[in-house]
Amino acid sequence: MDFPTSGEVLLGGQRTTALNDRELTRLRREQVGFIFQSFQLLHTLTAVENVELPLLLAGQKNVRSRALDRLRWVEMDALADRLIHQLSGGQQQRVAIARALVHSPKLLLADEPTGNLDSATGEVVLQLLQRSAREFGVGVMMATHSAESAALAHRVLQLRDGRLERALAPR
Amino acid sequence: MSALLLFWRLLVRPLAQEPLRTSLTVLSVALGVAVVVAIDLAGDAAAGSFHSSLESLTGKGDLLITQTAGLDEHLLGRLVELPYPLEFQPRIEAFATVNGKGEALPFIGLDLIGNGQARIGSFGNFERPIWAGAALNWHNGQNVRLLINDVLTDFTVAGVLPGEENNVIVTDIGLAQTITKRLGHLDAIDVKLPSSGSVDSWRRLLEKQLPRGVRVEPQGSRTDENRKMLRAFRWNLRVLSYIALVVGAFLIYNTIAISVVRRRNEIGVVRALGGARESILSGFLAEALFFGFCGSVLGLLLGRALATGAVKLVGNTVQALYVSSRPAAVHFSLESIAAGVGMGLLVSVIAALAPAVEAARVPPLEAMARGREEFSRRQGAGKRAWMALLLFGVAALFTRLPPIQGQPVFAYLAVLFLVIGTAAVIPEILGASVRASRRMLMRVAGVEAFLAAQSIEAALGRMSVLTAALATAVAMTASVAIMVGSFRETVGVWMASSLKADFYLRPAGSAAADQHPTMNPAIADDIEKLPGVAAVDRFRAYAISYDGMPATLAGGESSRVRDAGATRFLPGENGRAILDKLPTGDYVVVSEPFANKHKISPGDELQLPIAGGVRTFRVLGIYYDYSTERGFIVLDRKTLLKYLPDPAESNLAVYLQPGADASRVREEVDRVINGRGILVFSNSTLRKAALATFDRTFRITWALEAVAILVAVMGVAGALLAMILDRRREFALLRFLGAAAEQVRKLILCEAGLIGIIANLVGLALGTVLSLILIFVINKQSFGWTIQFHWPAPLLLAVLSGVLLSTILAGLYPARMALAMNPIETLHEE
Repeated sequence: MDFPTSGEVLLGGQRTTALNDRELTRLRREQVGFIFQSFQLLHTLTAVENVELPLLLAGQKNVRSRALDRLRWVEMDALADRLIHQLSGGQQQRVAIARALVHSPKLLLADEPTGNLDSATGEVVLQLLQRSAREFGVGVMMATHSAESAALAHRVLQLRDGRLERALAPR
Repeated sequence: MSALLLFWRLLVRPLAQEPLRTSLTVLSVALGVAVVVAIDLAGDAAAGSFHSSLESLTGKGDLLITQTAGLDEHLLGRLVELPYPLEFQPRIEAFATVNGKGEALPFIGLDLIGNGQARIGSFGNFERPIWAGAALNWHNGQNVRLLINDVLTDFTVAGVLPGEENNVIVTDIGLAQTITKRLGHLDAIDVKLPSSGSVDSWRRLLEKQLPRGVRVEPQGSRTDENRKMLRAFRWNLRVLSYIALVVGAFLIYNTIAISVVRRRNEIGVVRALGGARESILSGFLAEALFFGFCGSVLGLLLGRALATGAVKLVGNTVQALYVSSRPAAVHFSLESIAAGVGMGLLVSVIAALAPAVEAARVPPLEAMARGREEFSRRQGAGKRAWMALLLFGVAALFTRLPPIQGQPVFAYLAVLFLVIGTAAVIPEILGASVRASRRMLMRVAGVEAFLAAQSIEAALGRMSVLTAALATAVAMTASVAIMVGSFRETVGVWMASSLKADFYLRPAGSAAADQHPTMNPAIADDIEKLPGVAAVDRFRAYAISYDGMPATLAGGESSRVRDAGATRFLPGENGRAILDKLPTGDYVVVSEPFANKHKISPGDELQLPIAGGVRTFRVLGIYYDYSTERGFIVLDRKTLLKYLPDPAESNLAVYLQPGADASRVREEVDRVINGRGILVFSNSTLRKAALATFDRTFRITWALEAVAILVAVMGVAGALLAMILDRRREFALLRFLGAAAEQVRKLILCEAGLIGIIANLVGLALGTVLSLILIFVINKQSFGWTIQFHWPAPLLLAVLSGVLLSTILAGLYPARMALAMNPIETLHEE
């Protein structure tokens, strides 16, 4: 979505700065899933319709079963037909995770995924992220202010005012 | 002062942040006001100047003496001998065209030796001197060839008459009488009264001295009659000109409603900080007034510019259907300025009332807590459905009510109620349509169309207003298209049944409804003797005044018309029997518009001032006629000649023998008329020419409809721009989720397209109902024409697809704007 002011971003060995808009769109569709602090679900759609969205945008057909699979995985299948405003914050973030994983991306980018949640709900979300890495082999890259969240990661890069302060060795 | 500051800070300044949308709203008001102003100015100008140039020349007389088909010259001698201090100025009135082409110019014969010479100057030594109005741009000594009736004659310009608008040609009355073959006749006598005594008392005195059938009227009554005749036409035109403003009203409503939604938070804060309900209400009304004021001022300027073009279009129609008039200068009166600005402000405030009241009712806490949300009308769906039903019922009732002073006021109200009623249920129609179609849309047009349907449903309030505006414009256009299409078809069918002759002849020059130049009667006689010619129908027409309204008195050959079956009478009347009886006495048939205008039925008696007396004629029947709205009173030619023994004809219809070689006969006819200014039309060219005239008269209507649609489409563009801003988070998110740029564009165009399709369908349905009111109530009450309903499918298809295409195109810029936003920044902002 963005370009580095200096240096380069390599994704699966591919330099993102070398890609045009069409190729970047394809990259997002196939390899990246996003999770946001404020969930960013579409309020006009139901939970399952939100999850279907990345597949539909990629032009895929018969997407309902895969969307329901992912919702089941985050234990939200029972509420699949609820509209977004009928869900709690934690439930919304679980739907957002299902959406981020529905197209089996290689990389999950999570921006403060627990920032808007209480600690118990945040814990559940973090566990889901950990499980997704384990079960689907997705690389999860998470930005967080929380030391507890960071503690779950294999590798932590500590930033201060936009500069890398230190890199902790992988666990 | 503080209120003004707050108004500036809270309401005006935010408008500057969306200059394009603000301009679109102002422009939509401006266009609405401009059209109203332009039509008002153009109507005034087009109806403004019957004979006004003549008045400026002779000095305004006080009374005018006239008679059907002209006065006997001896009358002047008797009048002059009366022991009263009155001045009499006789005149001959005709029309001339330069070389038989172009505009018909008033050709006036005045007694230049008696009164007017001082104004006109020396005669010079020319054989046939004329004095030409300055507007003609002729110079002294110039030779001009003029066609008067069917004869071309050379004249020399002896002088130029002042006045920029003056296009009159004046000559001495003796010469005019010779040229127009009216020796011994006068068309009118102007009377100048002394300052003592009232106009009315002099009028009564003169009437006693004059034979029956001679009319004495105050000057300007002809202009008044013409204005009266034009009233219905101008009324309808004016109502049409309001359509764009009504469509504009929806957009003001939408703009203010969006403004209320966006500032819900601010409203809460302002109320919490001590702002009163009334301040909120007046704030939003002031915002609407701001739009109304800017739009109206711009509209005045735009209207003044459009008026020049409109005068030409309106003038065309007036000329073709009513009376020859030269448009006066467009005159910007204080009244028209006040009317334009007042209209713009009024419509803006009315349109803004509902959302402004809604804003004022918002409880402050709720406003702050819930933040931005969709503007929703307080009334529920049920209440609105009932209101619509009530409006439809009242509208149905109103279509049954008679006109007020000849104007179909109730029918116009019925149209307005139907429009408002339909707008009230648009949210239900729109919601149900997108709900019903979204799965299908997904299959047919992909996820973008599905998302578009979802977003429309989510923003039903504002999308409904937009759909209503567009549907109103479509409905009005469709109804007028159906009406005009039906009218055209009816005229076509009428022509096919009534134009049975093979050739038609008339003097060259422009064909205005009140001009009846004549031909030498020898021509008809010569043509009748040609081999291959079966019969010639001789038709003579006179412009007259009946019961204070202009009309046409005419004579035709009943037997020829009967044999050709060329006249269709109203249902229930026996055409053959009527035409058999017509020549046998003082009988007439009248055209449908005449019968409607004067409430005449078969069997009624008409009093016609004719041949030195008032004669009574019995009406035998009413026939269909679509050639002029003035209305015809038709006698048999023999009866007409008995009273008005001038055998010259205004029109000839030539019937060929079966099997005759039309092109050979045509050559012979051309030989007979050789050198005269006479036009010969074959049957098909006459029909084509008539339809061309028909189409020309409705150009102004199309122009008005086009403006209404333009306003609606601008509204769609403006509302989509607002929508893009309000939903930028959604578009950014879609980009994160893998939507390509084209997909976001497609989504926005799909929304515009869906609105366009639904507005088209609703508009077509409503337009069909409105067209029935137009055809069977408004037209009937205003003009008295019977029009057969006809669906002009190709025209409607063109209009609807044009609207749809422009609606989709209106989404292009907003889509570009959506794509220009940076998704990361957008999501961060939120």
